[in-house]
Amino acid sequence: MNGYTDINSITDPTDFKSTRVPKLFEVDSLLRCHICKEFLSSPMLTHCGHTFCSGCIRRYLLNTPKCPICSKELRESNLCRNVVLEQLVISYKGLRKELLEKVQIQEEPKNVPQVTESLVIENAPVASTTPKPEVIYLDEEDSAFDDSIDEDLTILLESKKRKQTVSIDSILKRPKPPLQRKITTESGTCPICSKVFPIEILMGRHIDECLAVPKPSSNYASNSTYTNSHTSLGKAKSPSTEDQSYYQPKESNTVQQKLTKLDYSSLSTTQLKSKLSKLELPTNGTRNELETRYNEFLILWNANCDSVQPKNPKLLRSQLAKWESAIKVKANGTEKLGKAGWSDLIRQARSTMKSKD
Amino acid sequence: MPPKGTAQRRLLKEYQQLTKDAPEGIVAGPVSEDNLFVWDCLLEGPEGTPYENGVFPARLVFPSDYPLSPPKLTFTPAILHPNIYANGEVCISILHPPGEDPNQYERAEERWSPVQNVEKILLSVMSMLSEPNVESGANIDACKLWRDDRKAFEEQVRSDVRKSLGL
Ligand SMILES: [Zn+2]
Ligand SMILES: [Zn+2]
Ligand SMILES: [Zn+2]
Repeated sequence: MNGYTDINSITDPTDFKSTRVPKLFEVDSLLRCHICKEFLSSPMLTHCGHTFCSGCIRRYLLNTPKCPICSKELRESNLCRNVVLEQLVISYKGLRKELLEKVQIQEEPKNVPQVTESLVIENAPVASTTPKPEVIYLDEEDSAFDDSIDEDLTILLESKKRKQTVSIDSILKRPKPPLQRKITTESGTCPICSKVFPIEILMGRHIDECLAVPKPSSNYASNSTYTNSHTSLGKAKSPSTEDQSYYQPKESNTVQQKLTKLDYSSLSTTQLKSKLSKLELPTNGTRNELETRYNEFLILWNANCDSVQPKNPKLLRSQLAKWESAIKVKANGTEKLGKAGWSDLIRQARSTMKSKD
Repeated sequence: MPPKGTAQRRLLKEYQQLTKDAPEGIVAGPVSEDNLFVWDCLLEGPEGTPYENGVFPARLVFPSDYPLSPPKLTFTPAILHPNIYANGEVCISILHPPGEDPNQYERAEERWSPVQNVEKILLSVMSMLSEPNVESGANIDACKLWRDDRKAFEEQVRSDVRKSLGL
């Protein structure tokens, strides 16, 4: 991820306020974290019934052992993964853009004819109403910085997506998806093997065939709770089989060990550096920077362990590097006085006040 | 634009939400696109109070670990109020995290936590303007005046309001 954000790429629940279904505002709000206001990422349920992103709540609990909502005493050991909610969020994020388009007041509910649509996809993906190729889910290299999924808005995203597909490919060593997307036909996802097929094939013969073939790993079976497009969401349109295989939420095979907090008072700087280098993290900077770095990595790492789609540790390291650079930007940030639009606003408010007088 | 961290993204979201759906009498937004950590705010004085008809500029300064820590809110220039320090800084419980509140008796739910936001702060400030809390005053002189000579207090505020509007 580039780490650069355009104000237009940030979504919030008010996007639904002036649509035909303003109540979607509530749904959109409920799937977000109260701390970061982004869609919940690895949601954790507290024993008091509240839910936050794993990273957000762990970061908060470092200093305050209380629930940020109800102030009940809370420790990391009281947190519990909420897998269904995580899958719901992933599913919602994937359809949010399309949903928003469908409920816009000025828009015709009827879709453009099939032929036109496929042309649009090939030539101007941004303008198309086709759901985002869900490949973006695994591309979500750093939700803490760039919540790519909910900002499905613009050209920005299209370009980002291409870039990421490449970088993720090399990291995960998966086959590269075809650059040119296939013409979109009605297709659905098989609940057994999670692959995408044209709907006639899927319903016609595939599911039966698929059920007959014994699976090499039990991994797929354990996913069957994630009911895919053709059962829960109706027919999904998907750009290609390759793409679809990327985002199947699945429990990772590798069980990652959570990192533990360090007792800095009994740790020399040399020992701390060796801890960092074992984690393949940089060892430069002041003692304070080293501790801050370890603490943030601890949060990123442990939150990643809570995810149904854990990211490659390399991505966590780059996320950490971006976090550090964002902190530095803030520290060096200079304050500029009033932009034109702002002073206009003030003038306007003053004159309203005067006229009231 | 500089890279955006969690704090910046959240500030952008709050700004976006406030522009679309701001409570009445409140305008707030970042001073510049390069620095989302400093906001200018304008608050209209609540009706039925001596602050009525006033438009009060204030500045919000956010810490780099926002929303873990609360921002600081300062009226520029300062306004006469029991809960506003002489330098303009606002002292209300929502701006203090639990444990750091100088006013020990305040309930934890009213304190700062990351689930609070700019809108809630500014709404609290509006209600603070309507109902000063003299038991946990920040400006002793204003507290005394408010308690002992309400008329003089209100007259002083009204006169400040007129001056601030250049009337
Ligand atoms: Zn969060
Ligand atoms: Zn709670
Ligand atoms: Zn199958």
